[in-house]
Amino acid sequence: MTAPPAAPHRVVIDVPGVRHGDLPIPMGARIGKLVVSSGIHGMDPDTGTIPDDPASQVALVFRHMRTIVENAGGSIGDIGFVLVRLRDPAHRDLVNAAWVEMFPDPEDRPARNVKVQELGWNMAIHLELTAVLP
Amino acid sequence: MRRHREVIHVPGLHHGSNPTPPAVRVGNMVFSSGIFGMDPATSSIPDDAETQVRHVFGHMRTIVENAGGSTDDIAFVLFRISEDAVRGLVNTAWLEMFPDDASRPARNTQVDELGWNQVIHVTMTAVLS
Repeated sequence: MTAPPAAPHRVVIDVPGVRHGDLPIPMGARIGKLVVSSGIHGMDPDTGTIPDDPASQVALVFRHMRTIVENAGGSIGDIGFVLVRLRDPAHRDLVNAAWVEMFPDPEDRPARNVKVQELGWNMAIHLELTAVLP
Repeated sequence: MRRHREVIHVPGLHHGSNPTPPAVRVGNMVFSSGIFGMDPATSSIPDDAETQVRHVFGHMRTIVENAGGSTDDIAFVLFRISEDAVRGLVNTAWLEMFPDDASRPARNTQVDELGWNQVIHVTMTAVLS
């Protein structure tokens, strides 16, 4: 009798169709109950490109956030913090609309921080999340 | 049974019309949103840098205490300051809150453009015992 192999301490979390080009960067990682993402950008998994339209990018990054926590074995109810980087502060309204749609309960939504800065590769939005699984 | 994720409120600190809670607890971890030097009594950001720093440290304490913890539970603080001169004020308040060399949070300080009259803007992460 041999013991079953121990679960790995650190597990990579993928989002099918979304990558960091050829860079050796997973979309997220889980260690124990903690889930952290890499930079999440508005890549369309069907085309492998980032659409020009900021609203489409916002919709895609929110979809990827959900995929990351769900592929980590959790749900959007486990997200604790989201760092949002925006190219243009005018896009804050798009983020707020998507945010309230994903997190409608004012007493049950993540902390967040929004930072306006230059983003490369046509990105209007770039974010990172931290989640804690139950 | 307490819920897995709950918003932590800081009386007098808010993010205007943005759907941003001051902080949340998820499991045993606490994450703040951007903490700035809003005066809880007036809900405005005072011009004076030292007062802003004092308010920010007060909000940090309120967040961890309202989450059921203490300043001993703060693990990491990211400070964004408007100019390097604010660093001295941060260090003074830091030593006052965390006098023990052997038990204080990790931190990072960046000089950055901050809007709305802010000289300091902070995010922090804590782990409740």
